[in-house]
Amino acid sequence: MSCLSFPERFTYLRRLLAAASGLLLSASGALAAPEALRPFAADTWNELARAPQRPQAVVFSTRDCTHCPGVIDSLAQSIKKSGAKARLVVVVMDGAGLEADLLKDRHYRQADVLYAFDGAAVSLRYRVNPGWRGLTPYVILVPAQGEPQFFSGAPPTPAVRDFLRP
Amino acid sequence: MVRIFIAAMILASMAALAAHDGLGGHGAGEPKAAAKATPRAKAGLSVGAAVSPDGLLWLVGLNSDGKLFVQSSRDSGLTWNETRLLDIGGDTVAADGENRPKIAFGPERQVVISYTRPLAKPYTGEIRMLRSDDGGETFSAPYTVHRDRQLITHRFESLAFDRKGVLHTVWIDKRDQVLAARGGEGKPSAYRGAAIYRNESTDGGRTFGPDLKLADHSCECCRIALAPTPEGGMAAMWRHVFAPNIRDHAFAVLGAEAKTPMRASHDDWKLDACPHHGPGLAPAAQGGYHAVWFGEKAGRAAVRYGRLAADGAPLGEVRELPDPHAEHADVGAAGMQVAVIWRSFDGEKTRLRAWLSADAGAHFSLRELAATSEENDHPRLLATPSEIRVLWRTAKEIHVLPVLP
Repeated sequence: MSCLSFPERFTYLRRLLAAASGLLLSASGALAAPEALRPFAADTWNELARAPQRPQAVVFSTRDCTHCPGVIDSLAQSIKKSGAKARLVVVVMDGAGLEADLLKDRHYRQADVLYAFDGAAVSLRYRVNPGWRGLTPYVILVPAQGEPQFFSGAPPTPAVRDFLRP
Repeated sequence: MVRIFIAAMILASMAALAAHDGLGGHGAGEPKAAAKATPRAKAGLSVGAAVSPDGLLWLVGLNSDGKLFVQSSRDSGLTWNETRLLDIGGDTVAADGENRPKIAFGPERQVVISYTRPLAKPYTGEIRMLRSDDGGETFSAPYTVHRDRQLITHRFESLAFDRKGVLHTVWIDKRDQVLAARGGEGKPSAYRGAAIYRNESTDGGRTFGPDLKLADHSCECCRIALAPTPEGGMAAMWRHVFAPNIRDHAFAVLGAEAKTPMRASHDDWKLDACPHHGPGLAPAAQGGYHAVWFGEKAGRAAVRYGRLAADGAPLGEVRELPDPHAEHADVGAAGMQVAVIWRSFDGEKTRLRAWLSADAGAHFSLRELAATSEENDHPRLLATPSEIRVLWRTAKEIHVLPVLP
């Protein structure tokens, strides 16, 4: 801590308080909002999909996608109701550089982790699924064990139910 | 309680230290990429282009600082003049994918440039325009094209001058969804999709007629294709939401629209999502139109080519482009020659490909025109009286390549 400059100390303290409040929220059963917008780069998908410790519902969204907020809301509610330790991950494909705006958005605040594309969209999409042409919302249910399932639009209720089953 | 709080603070400190050390704050499963800095805002690559009556190729887009610029070339893109920044006050410009600035030329040295200005509320926007009466030497300050001023969607505009010099502007508009939500069940879902609105200007964009509804129930996030009619007017094709949720395409001749638009594609793609993938349209020499569109038919996603009759009804066989990764295709025609162009990513490079026909679309041959590893825009065709060229902007260069004749 002593080797940090003033802005770094400020950031450190901000993170400390955020982490503390996150822990308290977790203890009370409430979802913690994402603290930062993370870059979704070339290797991010492989790392997300590789045997996660918790099941993950990943929603690829765009700022002009009118169907996306509803799908994010629905998945967030399903996760909360189920009591499953699943994680909601939202990737805003055109959200680079818009951290302040996105972190204020009530839909995105339901995500456990929030990303924005960092790089050529066509290449990042291909790494997720070569057959995906950019349609949003694009939803991937990544179980803790087993293969991810890909959905154009909202995943069917039985698929979400199976995904969240302990 | 105090002990629990102290324990929480100790754990929080450990978590924060882990984050400070670049170890990630969301558990061991967190991708390493998350430790990188938040990406900076970057300007989209999407550009509009058109050829002026005196043969200059003009380009409008955003530079790396996000400023709106125009640029022109006297030799079909071999060399370019210096970029010229346009004064648009404090406007921001949507220039990403299907949303891009456009430029069009009128018959009396008029030049208009349009763009969507995103507004403060998500999914809202205004169609803005700058006008020149001196062939593009000077431009007006930007102004809003439509009369409706609600804080709602007015986006994805397309514009073109018809043969009589009338400027047509067509856009996606959500005023009817707002009305339905107020008078109906109180939810936006009370109205299927958005609507297509349009207006006309008979003085090169100086003044506009009223906002006119072209069709209810369009898709919300795809570009609108315009093409001249044989009579000198303008036709439009857009992704529609046919009941209950079929995202096929619709067609109408502006000013002669029927009560319900003509269904121009029958993929029967049932979808509650945004494809971000609008169609392309070009007049056919033998009457009717050539069309390209993206859709999923019987579970098979593809870009398809088909002919349309003069009223937009499908005509004959629909064919898939010979590329499973084809996207954002455009179509152009010069006499019996037809060009379909698209981009296609193979995991390493994005390739610019063309499907060319010398017999009005009866037979096609495949050609590869260019490739890049850089980020790139959707390709688009530019028609001049003597030829058709494809324009493709990549992060480092602008390709302008002849495809026809």
